Amino acid sequence: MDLLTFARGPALEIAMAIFVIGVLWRMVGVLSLPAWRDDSPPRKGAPPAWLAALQAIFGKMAPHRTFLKAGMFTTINGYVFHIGLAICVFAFAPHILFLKSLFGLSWPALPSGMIFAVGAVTAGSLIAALIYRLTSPVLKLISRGNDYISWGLTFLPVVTGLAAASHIGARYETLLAIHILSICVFLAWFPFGKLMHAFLFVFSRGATGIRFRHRGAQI
Amino acid sequence: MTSTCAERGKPVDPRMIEAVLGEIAAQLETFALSGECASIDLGGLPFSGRDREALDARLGRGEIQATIDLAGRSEVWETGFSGVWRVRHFDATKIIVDLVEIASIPEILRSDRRDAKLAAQRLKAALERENAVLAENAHEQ
Amino acid sequence: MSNDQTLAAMLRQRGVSRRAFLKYSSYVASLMALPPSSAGALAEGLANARRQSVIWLSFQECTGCTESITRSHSPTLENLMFDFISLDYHHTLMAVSGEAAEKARQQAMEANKGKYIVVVDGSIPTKDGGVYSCIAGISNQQMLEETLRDAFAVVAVGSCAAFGGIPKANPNPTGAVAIKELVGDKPLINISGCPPIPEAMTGVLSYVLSFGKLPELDHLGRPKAFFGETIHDRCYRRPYYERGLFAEGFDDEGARQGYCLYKVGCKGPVTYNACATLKWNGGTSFPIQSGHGCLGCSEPDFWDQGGFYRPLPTPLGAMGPMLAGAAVAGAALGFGASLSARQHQKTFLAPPKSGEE
Repeated sequence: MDLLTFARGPALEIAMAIFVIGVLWRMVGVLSLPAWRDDSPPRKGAPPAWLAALQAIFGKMAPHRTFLKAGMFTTINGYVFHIGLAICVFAFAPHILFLKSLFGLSWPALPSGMIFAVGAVTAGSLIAALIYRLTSPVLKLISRGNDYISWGLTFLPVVTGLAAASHIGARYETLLAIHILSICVFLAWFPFGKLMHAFLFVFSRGATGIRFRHRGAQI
Repeated sequence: MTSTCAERGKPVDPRMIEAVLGEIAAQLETFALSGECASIDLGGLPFSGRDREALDARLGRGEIQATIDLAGRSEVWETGFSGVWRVRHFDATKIIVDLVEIASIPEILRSDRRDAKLAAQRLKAALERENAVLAENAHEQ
Repeated sequence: MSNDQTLAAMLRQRGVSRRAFLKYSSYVASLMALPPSSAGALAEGLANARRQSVIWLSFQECTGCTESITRSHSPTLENLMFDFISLDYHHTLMAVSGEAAEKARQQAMEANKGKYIVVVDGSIPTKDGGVYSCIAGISNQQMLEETLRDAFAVVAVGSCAAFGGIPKANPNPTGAVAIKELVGDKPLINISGCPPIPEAMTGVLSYVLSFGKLPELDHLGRPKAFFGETIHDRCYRRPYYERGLFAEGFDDEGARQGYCLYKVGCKGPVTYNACATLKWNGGTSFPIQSGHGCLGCSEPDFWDQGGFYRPLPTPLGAMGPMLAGAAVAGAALGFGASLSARQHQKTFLAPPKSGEE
């Protein structure tokens, strides 16, 4: 079996199985824990729980003005690579075909040249994020292997995707296999590291909002 | 060698033709100075049928045209530029080789001396046979 | 049976001059992307060569490769090719059959010891002692071993011989293998394709005949002159791929406009062959030009790459049931985890038993 057949076949199957099992394990595990109850009466002006949750989820999309200057880089750079990743993953024709084969849904793609440019910007933005993490005194102190592994496994698909699209470095089918294998490792790691924030952030922000607003605190 | 179906609507590529003409000019100069021959295979270039016609229009025709009857037809002609020849091999109606040759004369037009040697023997033998027949006729009369 | 005359002498007897070699060599040089100036050397090599003895062995095959090579588009020029070789054994093309045929093979091997080329099409079954394909009372494996003994080189023609082809496709009931598994250290050229382009076969044979050596080969043993680039690299529909203009089906507007066939399963990006440049039937067309995606027929195991109409990004496995099972398993683990956490909470937060304080 050659590398590409392995990547498209057993590797992808196993990685996706691990991803689904892992994500559901963690999400069902967290969400089926007993609900945290606050029996104290809600403070004056406290919104209903669902509104408090939404306010927190969307409100925290930008830093509070006190921290705006300090958090400028992480906020903007963070949006750049998150949006960049979303565009590369969801607006590139071959990726749409992949998702169509799984879910039966498809939507129009952006021109491949545009995706390549976005991918390059995304890669640059990810490198900037790493440099910031390595040089900021606070981040340097609190960063663990989990953070760097999550960064690496996010960066690899972007860079191997760029290599495959530009046919640089090896024969095309090898580059494609390496790109797919990098996605396999990404998927397998996803449920067990910092990348789970993708699913968890909604709930943690929501829960914070509900608790704070119930007690009359601003979020 | 590309079928016209795929070429529908494709415009002539002037840069490609300029590039080939540039190479021909350089090789022609080398030939003029040192006698070194050269050959350019148009089939190996991204050349459409229209590009070929455009190139031939630029090169024009010279004083010599030749046809070779060998495993299909071949056409050889000198262009308007002395020393620049076109050699085109056909099989039935399709062009299978299309060359620009820079030389005094394309190799395929020359007669090989080894063929000539055997031809000389054949001619000599034919003459001897004819002489023998004439001698015999004279003798009978 | 090959004789001792040079090819030049042979043609001369038919009144054909050495020009024939030059014309034929220009053709081969052009095919194999050799510099045009090499035509002269190629011509000399051919003219001075003796008729090459070729023994063609056909095993688990459909005869498509033979059909391809005999439908060469340059019949007048490629007739020369068939003059240059002495096809001493070929099931479909030889006049005799039965024991006389096998005798011809033995005699050719004997008379041309160390100099004959073995061309093989079809794969070889190895399961159960190779009984699933037998010719003249012996297994294919045996016939190959026998014939290879004093061969100069082996040419595996077609994807079945080169990589196992359709007999080797899932579930491979006969234990079919590619020829390369059985040739040991004999020089081997793989000319894959289902079938291969006829010019690829004749071009390579001419090269070997003229230069007495193998052309440059890639990591799968295929001549780089014909298998050096992918279909995608030379496809005339590539600009549509780059601009994201695809046919969604075989009869929609995109298909009518001649857009890229990536979405209907074209394997062009990962297939190495000369179809996009040499094309088929004398440069007439090739699958993509006719509106059908590339099957990838010159690559190993192309029958098992998920399906001709499933686009390249589609995973090979059947994901649906597997993912459903994984979801159930994950949810079960999650519930189990939360149940155990609740139990732990209860025990941990339970009031101390009376009398312990």
